[in-house]
Amino acid sequence: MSIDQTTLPIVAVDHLTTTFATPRGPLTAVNDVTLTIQRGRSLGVVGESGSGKTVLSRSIIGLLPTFNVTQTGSATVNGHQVIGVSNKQLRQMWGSEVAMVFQDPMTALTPTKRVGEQIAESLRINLKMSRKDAKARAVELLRQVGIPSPERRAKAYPNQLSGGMRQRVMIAIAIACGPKFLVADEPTTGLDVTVQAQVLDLISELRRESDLTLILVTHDLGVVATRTDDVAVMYAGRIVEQAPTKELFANVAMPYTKGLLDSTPRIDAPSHTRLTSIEGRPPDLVNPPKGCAFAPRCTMATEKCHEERPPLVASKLSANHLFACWYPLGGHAPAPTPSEQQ
Amino acid sequence: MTTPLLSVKDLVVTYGRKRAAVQAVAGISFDVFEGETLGLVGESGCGKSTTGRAILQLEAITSGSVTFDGTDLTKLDREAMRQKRSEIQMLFQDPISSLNPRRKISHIVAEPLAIWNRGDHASREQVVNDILLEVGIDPALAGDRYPREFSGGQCQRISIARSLVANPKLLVCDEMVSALDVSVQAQIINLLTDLKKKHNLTLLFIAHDLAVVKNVSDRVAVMYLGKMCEIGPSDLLYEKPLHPYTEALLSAALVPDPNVELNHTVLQGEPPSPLNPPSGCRFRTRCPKAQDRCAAEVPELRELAPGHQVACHFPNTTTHVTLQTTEH
Amino acid sequence: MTDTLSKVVHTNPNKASKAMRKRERFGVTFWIATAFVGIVVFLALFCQWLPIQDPNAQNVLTPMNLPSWMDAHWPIWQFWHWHWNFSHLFGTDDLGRDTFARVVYGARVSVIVSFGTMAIGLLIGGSLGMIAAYRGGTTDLVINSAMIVGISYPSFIAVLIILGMWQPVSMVKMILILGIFSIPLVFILIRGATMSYASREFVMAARALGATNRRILVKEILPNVTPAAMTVFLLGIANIVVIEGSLSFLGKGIAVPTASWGNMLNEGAGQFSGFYTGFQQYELAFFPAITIFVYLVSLFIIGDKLRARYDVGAGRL
Repeated sequence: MSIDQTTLPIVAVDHLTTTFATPRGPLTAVNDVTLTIQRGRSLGVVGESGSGKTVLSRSIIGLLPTFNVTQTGSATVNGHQVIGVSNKQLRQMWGSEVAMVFQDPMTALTPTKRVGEQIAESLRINLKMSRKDAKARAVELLRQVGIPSPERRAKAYPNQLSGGMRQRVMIAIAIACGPKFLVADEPTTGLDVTVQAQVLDLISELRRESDLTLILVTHDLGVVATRTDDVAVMYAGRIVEQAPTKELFANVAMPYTKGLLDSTPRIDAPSHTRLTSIEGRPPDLVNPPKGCAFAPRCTMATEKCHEERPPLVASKLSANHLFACWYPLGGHAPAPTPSEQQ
Repeated sequence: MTTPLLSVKDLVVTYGRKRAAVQAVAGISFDVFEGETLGLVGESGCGKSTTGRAILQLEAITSGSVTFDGTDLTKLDREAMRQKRSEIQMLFQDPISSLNPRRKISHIVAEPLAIWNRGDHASREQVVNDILLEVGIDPALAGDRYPREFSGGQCQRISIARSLVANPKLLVCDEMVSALDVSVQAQIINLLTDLKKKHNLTLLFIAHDLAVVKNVSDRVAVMYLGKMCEIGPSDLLYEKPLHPYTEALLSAALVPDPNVELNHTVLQGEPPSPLNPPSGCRFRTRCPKAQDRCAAEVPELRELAPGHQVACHFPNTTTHVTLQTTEH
Repeated sequence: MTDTLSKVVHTNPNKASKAMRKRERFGVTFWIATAFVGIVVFLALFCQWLPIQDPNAQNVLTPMNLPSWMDAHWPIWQFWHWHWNFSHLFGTDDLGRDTFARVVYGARVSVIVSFGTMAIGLLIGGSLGMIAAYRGGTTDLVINSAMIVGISYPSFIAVLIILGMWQPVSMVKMILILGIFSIPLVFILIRGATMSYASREFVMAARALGATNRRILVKEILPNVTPAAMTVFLLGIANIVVIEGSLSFLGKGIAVPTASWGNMLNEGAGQFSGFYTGFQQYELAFFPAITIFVYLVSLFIIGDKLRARYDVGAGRL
């Protein structure tokens, strides 16, 4: 699939910073993040808890509360600015242009409304459908997401459905109004592995059908490796590595990413393989360390790493592969800037 | 064949009564030998956590026997069972709620000694400090603090310390790393492996993450809807699964490698309701190889190769290298 | 092979927790409230040994006097006209009795009755609540049903009738009766508080360690339920003060002439006014009323601050 250079990216984030006011001081959950996603691509955002990936996904579509939150920078979805605009303008976008699939379907779905009604509600509000049409379309959508006997299931309440089916209902609500951009925040965490496969297959199929752009936030490297086109690795609120998926896994640049890969037990490795764990814990985001945020835990850290924070630069091996490290692995090195090339 | 440390026979655990009775565990049998790690794996609702709790007699058992170190625990009265408790310990999934939020760490870890009146104040303090160091927590910094001041991984370490103070022979780990981040999970797994060697423990490791279970276990048992499907050595079971469910489960698991082809026999549909399980083999509604015999007859767990048992009428025998049919 | 056992992981138990605790300090209002309640309770319990006038000593020569440190000819805010005379801090009532002493002795009644009632309520209702919630099953079903019947019973009317029949009313009788009728509510509140802890893993862990049920209730569950119990105690006290005051106001409580806040309010409910140099009849109610008010507000402040401080979820940082 060739990328038309004149096509604007569906999502363009520029120096986005999100800060929360906490009793202990300002907490920068997302720190100076810049990325773009082209139409039809899927971006996996990987990180552990506290890395800022959930806050980033919500910042991009403007789902954060306004109380005690400051945001700087810009984020545009399909050309529309998201940061600093009123809720009214955001509401025009939500549902019809961008949609979100949440992690825990039990808390994301209204427990007191039938699932068919929840889908139909979105249709009536965003597409101004009549009650009858919305109801019929809701059943259609349930069929599309693979729920058997959809007419009957539409009348069910969320707690009468299994976890996998609830997640499908959430996907149905998300795609109901035909958005161009889908944000999935840990959509399969907590689901059984067989159900996870079904749900991820469903998302892939829907993407193919409607050329959806997708952000998939997860901590599971297996999900990222198999279902995304590009990957961004987050640590302490910043993107520390970003590359097309195949590229990243083939040639890892960041010690943190390598550490994550090494500490993940693999099903194709023999039993009792010693896992190399990353010592220590993620940094305190209210008082982040000077220099590289990962330096206190990095086995290769030097004086420089503790003093100066490495910038996110493109690798000379591949222009799409970005990393933020003074001593990257795998033969990576910062690409020379045009002025240096003279 | 040595006598197993733990021997579970025809265990049945039922919830609810009469019409709404659900057999969370519908008759399973397995052994755990001293010094090994048996992994117990299965999807949600298969009854693995219930099995763990039933072994510790924290759940009421409907029928069956749990023989630990020669004694049938189901036959003991409450006080006799209580006396045996310190020999089997359990670690739980939620690290924070495993610890009493209103007690200091040093008191929490010293609790087994206080319950069983072992040692005096000074020796107890020594034991607590030693064990905290072993699990990687600095007792001077941590002893007087409360659980809410620690992270998930640290709380799990403290839980491990508490269990070790009781000097158990068997440790049942019920999804203990499932709620942890990947890097912390690796730390805890390594810690568990080291401590197991040091303290001569036997582990029953219950989890739903197949890769974690394989990494930790010597043998693995697979459960589905309250029944045991397959038990075998971990490497062998993962490479050449005999039961169709195991095969489907393994093929759905994701490897962090984009070049691995997604070649999975995606299991269709949902697991049937445990209130009304399918007759015969419970997996037959989703099994690609199901035939009439599967609906009529419940498959028994039989040993197809040394150490490798399977409960299926049509196991993947062709893929198994060494095969000894022991039926008839 | 690196031996991970020798590498001690940095605990870093949230250095900021000290800062958090500083932020969560109770605040000035709380301490003022505590001080006031403390003074009231102290005076109430030790009034017999303190230099306070006899609350029942009548003096027909000095009825309805203003407080002794005021001068009737000057407005009250001109404090340079105040006298250094504390013989009658709150003035006197229509029979010449010292109002301050009567308020203090009234406090004695209120404090003893309310503390006694809540003690019975917590000891019996609280224990039953913890046991019922921990045991669950049939025990819980039986006790809970009994308590639900108990709480649906119109207790105030029942108390009125019983006190009406069981004359003369004394503090002990009031404590007994009010105590029994307060058990159901305390039971329900404590049972609710216990239930959120009884199913947590640390209780299961304690069982797995071999702790007896008694030990689990005392060592594991009770420390967690104590904050809720404290709040129940404080709010319960406030409630009983009001109930006892209402009973006395209606004339069904502690008999006149014993000073009690309710009695004093009753006396102040009269309408007539005479040629007195100080109060009107209804102004007799001023000091007991304002004391009751500040006392209750203080109790509520303390109860609320404690609840806010200790009602933490399990995983709260």
